[in-house]
Amino acid sequence: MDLKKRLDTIIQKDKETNPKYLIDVIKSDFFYMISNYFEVNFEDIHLDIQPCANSYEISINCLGDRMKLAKTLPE
Amino acid sequence: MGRAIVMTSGKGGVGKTTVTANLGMHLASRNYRVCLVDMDIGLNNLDVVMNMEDRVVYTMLDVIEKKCRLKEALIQDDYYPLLYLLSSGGLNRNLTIQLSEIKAVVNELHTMFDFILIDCPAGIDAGFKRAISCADEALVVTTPHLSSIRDADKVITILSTFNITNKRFVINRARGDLIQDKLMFDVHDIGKTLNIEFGGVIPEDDNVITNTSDKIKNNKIALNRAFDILCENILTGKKKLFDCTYKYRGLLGSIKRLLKRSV
Repeated sequence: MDLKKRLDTIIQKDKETNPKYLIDVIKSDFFYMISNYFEVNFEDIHLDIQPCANSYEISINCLGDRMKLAKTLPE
Repeated sequence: MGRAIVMTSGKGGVGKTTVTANLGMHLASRNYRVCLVDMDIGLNNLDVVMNMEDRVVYTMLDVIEKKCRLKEALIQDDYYPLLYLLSSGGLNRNLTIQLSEIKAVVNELHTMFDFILIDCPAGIDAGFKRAISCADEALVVTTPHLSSIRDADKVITILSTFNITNKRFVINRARGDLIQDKLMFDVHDIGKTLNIEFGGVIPEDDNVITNTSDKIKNNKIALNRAFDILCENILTGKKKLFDCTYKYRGLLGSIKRLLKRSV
């Protein structure tokens, strides 16, 4: 295996293992932000991070119960 | 307000301390007030690289413990009056240091200097986090080797979580002959992997051992030209590249490459 391929493989493997602990942190940040606008359960947020060649593909799927009323929105 | 730049790498032995010392000398030679801060508490070597080990009376830990004032702990360089060193030490005392205490020292340095270059310890434990917490910018020093690039990538991820937005990488100990023969990673390979701004390339050069303050103006030394370019990139935000393969191109270059490897 040439050097470049080896480096790519190593970095990608690292990226596959590192995001796991990040998911909960990001989910909690996202929950804090989205709950300003929607009534949401923490369990209804699905976050997935897939490592690509030199980046991450981040997908957030969230189910909101209902939109918050205008008066309750943050200023 | 000065710019606090942390020199980090993750992996040990890549040349963080050497880059810190040389960059400090080059910035000071351009009339910037520079303070080198050794945050490698317990395993401090910046004083040795700067040839100041005999002049250390007080250290950063003494400042924190209020045994002396900050100005008393700063050691002025003999050759560049604008270059100072704040050494650390005291292996048995580092456990008691609070991050807020170190930050207070660095904040005071902000008002006195244009550049605060923080020499970060290797690894990603408490010492590393303490060092990066005090900085606004980071220079990630790496060598063109797999292990070093891998660690640099991990460090860059951590730096992002510490809100350090201005991150640049510096390739240290690049060998033009090996890069030309595609046996070593070049800037583009490393840049693509690390995905942060380019800072500079420092060639592997024997002069790094003997380079002292009075010699850094000698532009015949490739190392000095490389550090000059790194300085300019830091000052102006440019991405100028020092080409370490120029000596090894063409027919004469291929002979040099053969000779270098056979020795």
